[in-house]
Amino acid sequence: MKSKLLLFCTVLVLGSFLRFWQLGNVPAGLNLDEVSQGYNAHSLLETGKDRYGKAFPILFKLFNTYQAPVYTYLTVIPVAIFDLSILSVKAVSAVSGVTVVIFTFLILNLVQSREKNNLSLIASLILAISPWAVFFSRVGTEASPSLALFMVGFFLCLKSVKKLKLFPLATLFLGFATHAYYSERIVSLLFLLGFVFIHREELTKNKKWLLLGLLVFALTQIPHLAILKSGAFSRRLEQVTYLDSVSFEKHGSSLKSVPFGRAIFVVREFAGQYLAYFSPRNLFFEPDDQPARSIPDLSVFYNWMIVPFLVGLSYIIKKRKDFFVRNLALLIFIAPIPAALSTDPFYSLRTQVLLWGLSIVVSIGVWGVLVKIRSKNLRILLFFSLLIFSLTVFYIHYFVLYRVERANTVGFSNIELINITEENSDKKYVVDFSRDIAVGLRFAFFRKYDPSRFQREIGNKFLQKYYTSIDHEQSYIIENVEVRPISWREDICKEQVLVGDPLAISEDQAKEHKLELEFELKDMEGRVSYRGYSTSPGEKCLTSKIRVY
Amino acid sequence: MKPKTTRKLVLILLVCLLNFWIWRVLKESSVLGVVLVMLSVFLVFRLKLLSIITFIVLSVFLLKNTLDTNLLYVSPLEKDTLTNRFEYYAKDLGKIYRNRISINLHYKVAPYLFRFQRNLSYNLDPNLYFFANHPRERLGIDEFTKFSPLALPFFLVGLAMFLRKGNSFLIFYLLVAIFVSGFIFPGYKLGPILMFPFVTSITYLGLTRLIKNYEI
Repeated sequence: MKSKLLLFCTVLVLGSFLRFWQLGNVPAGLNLDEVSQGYNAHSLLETGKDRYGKAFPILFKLFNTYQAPVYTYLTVIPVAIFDLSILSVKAVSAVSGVTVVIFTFLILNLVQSREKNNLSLIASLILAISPWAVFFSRVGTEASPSLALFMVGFFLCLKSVKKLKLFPLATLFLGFATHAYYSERIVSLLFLLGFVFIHREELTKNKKWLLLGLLVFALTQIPHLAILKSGAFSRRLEQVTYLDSVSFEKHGSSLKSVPFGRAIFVVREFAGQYLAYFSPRNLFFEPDDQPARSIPDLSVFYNWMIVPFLVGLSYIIKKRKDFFVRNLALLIFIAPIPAALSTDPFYSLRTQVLLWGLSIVVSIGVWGVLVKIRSKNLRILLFFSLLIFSLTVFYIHYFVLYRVERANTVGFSNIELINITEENSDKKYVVDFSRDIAVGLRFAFFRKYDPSRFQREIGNKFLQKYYTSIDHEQSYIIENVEVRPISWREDICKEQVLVGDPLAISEDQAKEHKLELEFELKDMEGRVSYRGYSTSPGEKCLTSKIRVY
Repeated sequence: MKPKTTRKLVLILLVCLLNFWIWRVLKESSVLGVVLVMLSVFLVFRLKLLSIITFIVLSVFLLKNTLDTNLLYVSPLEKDTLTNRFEYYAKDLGKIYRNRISINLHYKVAPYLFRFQRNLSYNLDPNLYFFANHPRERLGIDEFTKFSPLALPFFLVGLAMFLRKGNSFLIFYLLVAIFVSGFIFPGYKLGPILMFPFVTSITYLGLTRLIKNYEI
């Protein structure tokens, strides 16, 4: 037992290292969601309200959508300790990732028998090094604490079968998970119902705890009920689903003249999306389509894991009546449902619970393969070869390729621009944000703009219809910087620096308007991301007619 | 012929013929279609020698006519990416990357291996067979539905049985078929037809499990 604990500590150190090492530098910036969560946490800490001036929001407004609240509330703690920084925004996610590794060990320890000795160690190691698990632990995403809360709930659920009084605590965590990420609203509820159904005999032995547990879960849903009809509750689903008639009109052309065509379309779409979450192509070979939530040329699992995955699946099918396997199968069956209701193909962020379940399948497969190898030396050799290979692959794809090739998804050049505007505080800047809606918020975040001023000058306008309207800010004034679309009629007639990407300010436009190049910022790949031009109002506005582009 | 064998034959023929894929193949080449159906029957009846011979003939034909010539071609854009990436790696890893072995691996092995692996992964995607690759359709490739989504439950049940019981010959067939299909052009208008016998065999397996009167 002692040696097992020691080995687990080693796994934990490795998992923590992969999650915290260079967390503030790789990736070198913050995406829209992260910067919003970070600035809202700063605002909550300073004023007790979010950046729009809303006290204790149930959901946080983010432009025309809403963010689940747990991440932002938890981020207040690292922001209070480390001040507003990239690290403090991502800390909650990294800690959640480590928590998941710990609870994976505890869950598998709970169910492992003498013959399956070391399965919990293997599972925690797989979770510690899996690309999806490390990657999302390094992104400030609501899905990370949501997975951690769900795993604690899952662990307590399994324990509650023998110790009924733990059931209310389990449902409390499952209930909290619904406030951490949208997917868990569906996953937690369906899992709870499925779990109660599967273990109805054990759980009804003492109905008091069962009813109390269900009551606790219901109580955690009250905040959702409070905003149920506001539009905010279902806003995200409306943005991404194919359940509406518009999607059918757009994509269901062949079924329009068929009776029950729309129902058939929905069922077919759901089945296709659902199946995609189990496709080996998506799980082991191709990364998620969206650059911001995937590693270049690396999928959610390593290629080699397809072999233990199949071995693990085979084991699960054979042992389908086993206590743990039944619960794992329930979890795997339910977890892709929310993601399968959206139009996005293989949206890995929405299926973290599924990815956890599949990691356990892979772990069972790894354990199954290792125990079949009789030679201890060969077993150790295979184990360490795969471990070193995996870590090397991850290093190359994440710490080298992702850092460089995906730097634009986290506004790397934006941060350099912010530094320039801060160093030249005597100059006025107009920054175009046509292709990156997060620019204004990044200025507020990195220049630690006073949240009460932000609320007064920008946020308060949207406070009245916080949950009911999708209206949002169109421009920002942060100290000496205006973040808004460039107005060619007026902006060139003022003494200031116009900043934009090469599409916002082309070289022809610069020549036409007699703009003088002040600076040029490049992304990590060496491509120009911003050019700053100083205007020549005297020369341009007095000598020629203004041509409006 | 024994009634059980007749039932088995009828069932596998039904599975082979009640799908969009085989009719597309038959429309293009009736010989190819017949060979595929025969191979499916051989697999279900576990006629190993006949299966191997038919598979080899089919593979040779496909490799001769539809070999993915892109496997050994690196486009200028890809070359550019390779060069850039080499610089990123070298900058980060220094001498570990700036040596002859790494350079050869980077320029002469990795791109081809990556492409072959990508071809393999396409053929492992169940959505390719039941949903015309939806929701991850490939650019520039004419995706078409091969089997009706209604056949999916049978396929999944069959797959579960396959994973539970294992069938060494079918596993062997799957591995070799995937490997050979990796060399075939992903945009081939008939799709990865070497996988057809495997998918029909698995669907047949699921069907027989669900129709309990039939036992293999």
